[in-house]
Amino acid sequence: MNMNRSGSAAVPCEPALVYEILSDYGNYAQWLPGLKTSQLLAHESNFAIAELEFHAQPGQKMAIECIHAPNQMVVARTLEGNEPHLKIEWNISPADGGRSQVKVKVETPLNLAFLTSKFRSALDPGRMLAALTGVAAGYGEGPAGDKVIEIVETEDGLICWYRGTKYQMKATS
Amino acid sequence: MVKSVAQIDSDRSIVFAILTDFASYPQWVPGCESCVVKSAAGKTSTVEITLNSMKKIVLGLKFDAEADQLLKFELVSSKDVKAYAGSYKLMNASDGNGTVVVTELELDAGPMAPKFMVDRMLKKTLEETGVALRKYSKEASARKPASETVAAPAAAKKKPTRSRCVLRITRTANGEQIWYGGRTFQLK
Repeated sequence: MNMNRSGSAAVPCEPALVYEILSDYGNYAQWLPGLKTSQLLAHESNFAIAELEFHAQPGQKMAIECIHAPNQMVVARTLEGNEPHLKIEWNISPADGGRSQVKVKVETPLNLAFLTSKFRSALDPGRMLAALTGVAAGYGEGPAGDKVIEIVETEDGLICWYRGTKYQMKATS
Repeated sequence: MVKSVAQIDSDRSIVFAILTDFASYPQWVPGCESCVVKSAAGKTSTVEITLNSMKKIVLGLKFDAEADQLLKFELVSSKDVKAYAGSYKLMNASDGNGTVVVTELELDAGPMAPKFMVDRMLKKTLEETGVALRKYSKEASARKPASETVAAPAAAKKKPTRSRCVLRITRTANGEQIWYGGRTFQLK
């Protein structure tokens, strides 16, 4: 038996960016609550295989299969026959003012072991949407005001702006 | 239906060649006692395979292959099970290091074997098969002359297509605002 939870939020960026974040499975651990590691294993057109490790089950890698439709939908679920059964479905639609309306539906097992585990809070739709909104803000201009310091990841590597001066950062290890 | 993923440190062509070399299955498939090719025409082969893990079963299987991509199989004859079908889907590993094999397997052993028990056994079998395939393909790669080995493309580090902020500290009318890791912290 499964439990379905869902939520919806307006994310302040266009659908293409939301889709880019949601289909970047290898970087899920950087923003999705409760994730310790994430790794993209293979990717082909609208299908991908990734591996996730949750804080709720440290040391255990969970393979997921992902299906995506550009700028519209991203579905990630555990492989059939594997436990715990998880399915996360994101739906993206354009909203006013260059924003996106994002709906997330989370399907998880309905049993005591799961409900009392750390999975339950990690896979809370409200937390997931807040995390998505937060990570999307990293692509925007930020709040009005004097930027003291800003480090930006670009095609040319890491760039640092410090009090109006631009610096190119170089890896030393 | 049970699915499993295995990452194999060998080229897709090597993995595909192993999966379609049915006569060699007893050398690496866990529990495989024999595998006899009954017919082979184009992309389709029929084999008789004897598996002996919990119980000895003989399966007549039809394999349909799409070179280096997909190998599907289905039951054509068996006195031991009602249904047996599945596939191997081959994908290039994203890190440029070998092949990712996604295996699907479905077995209906009849009313005496509950589905949850069968699925648990299949999951274990698929995991063991993945380990065995990894080991066997490593040996096969080592046997292949270096001139025939196609070097896997180097893992290209994905460059961000858009500029993405990593850290930002902004002095606003309400005090310093720190944005880091998707979260905003306000200093007052």
